[in-house]
Amino acid sequence: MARKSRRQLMKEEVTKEVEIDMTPMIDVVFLLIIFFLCIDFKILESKLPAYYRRTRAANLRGSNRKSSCGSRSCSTARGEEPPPGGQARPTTWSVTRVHYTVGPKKVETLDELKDELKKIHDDPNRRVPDPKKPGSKKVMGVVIEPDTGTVYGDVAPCVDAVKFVGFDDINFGGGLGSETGGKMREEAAQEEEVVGRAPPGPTRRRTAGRDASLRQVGEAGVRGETGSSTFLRTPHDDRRTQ
Amino acid sequence: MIDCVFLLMIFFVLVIDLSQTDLEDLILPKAKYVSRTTSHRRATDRQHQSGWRRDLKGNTYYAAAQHGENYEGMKKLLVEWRNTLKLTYKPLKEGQAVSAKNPNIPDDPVLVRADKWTEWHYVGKFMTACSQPYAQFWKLELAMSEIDKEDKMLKAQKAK
Repeated sequence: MARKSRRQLMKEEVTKEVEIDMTPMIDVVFLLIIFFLCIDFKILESKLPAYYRRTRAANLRGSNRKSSCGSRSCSTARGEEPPPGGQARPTTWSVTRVHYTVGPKKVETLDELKDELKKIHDDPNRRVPDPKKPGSKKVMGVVIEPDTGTVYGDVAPCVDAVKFVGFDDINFGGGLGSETGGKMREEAAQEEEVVGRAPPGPTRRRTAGRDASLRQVGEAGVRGETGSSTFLRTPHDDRRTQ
Repeated sequence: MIDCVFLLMIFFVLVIDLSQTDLEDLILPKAKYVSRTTSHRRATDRQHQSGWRRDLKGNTYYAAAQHGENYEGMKKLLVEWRNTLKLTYKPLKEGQAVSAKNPNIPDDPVLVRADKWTEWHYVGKFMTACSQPYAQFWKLELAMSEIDKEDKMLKAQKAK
């Protein structure tokens, strides 16, 4: 075997030096891929603090599930056992429009709702006495009354808007539908009045319309304090399937 | 060196992610206004759109089709939470003792994670159960997401 000349040896060395080792780069690229895959799966959540209703009036509410057909969840997936490892998904995509009622005023969008609540929040005449600090006033509480057929995805954004405006005292006065609950709550509120536990004064004021009056009574019965704002949400009739 | 840094990053990302493994993969409603909050220990109620729930061990404790108006499973779960979770309780005033008048009420919130299409009826039932004497959870948190996964799915479907 012929010995390699010095020139040949030098040439080989030079060739070796310019070779790029791709292994660490591929390592890093794969690590980057894994990293971005992982962070894509991670969805951080927000949580909205709220308080549930406390009085017997709220517990007397009945359910009327037959009438709740305003949303996709009832018409397609309610009562179905989800398949193993997954949840039942409707086969059709439908859209349910909702509207909100703040006191007597009806609004259509979340932004309008937020603006309306902001007006109430900023109005000094709508402050209520603070029982913890006699002589001072505080922002009134909000009672959210989801109507029959509303879904979690309708109510949670409402709480979101209410919290954003600055209300801290959030209660749920409805929850199971006004059709059956309204009457029961009215009876409960009357019972409260008889035994002398219901607050006197402006909360007994009846406003026009059956629902409005029920809300006013319900507010007194459920919250047990004066001047609270009542907030009702109902599903809109306009439903369509995409 | 870079390898090690990335390995460490992946490790921490995964560790953080693992802390949320008890959270069921649900489509939560999108938060429009509220900002992200830090995670802390709390009891979690996971509700699917059909009112179907299961606990951390994977046992179904309420299914609308099976249980209907029977909410005993929900009661059992809440009692279990009261008995097994290390809860902080609402402090009593000086000189007050735990009694029927001054009950020992948990101060920890219960996180309600429901699918955005869960009928509010089921959430309301859970709230009512929370208010009962056997549970007395008086604070609730409603989970929302930074993104609407359903929108993402719809966009992906349309793109196909």
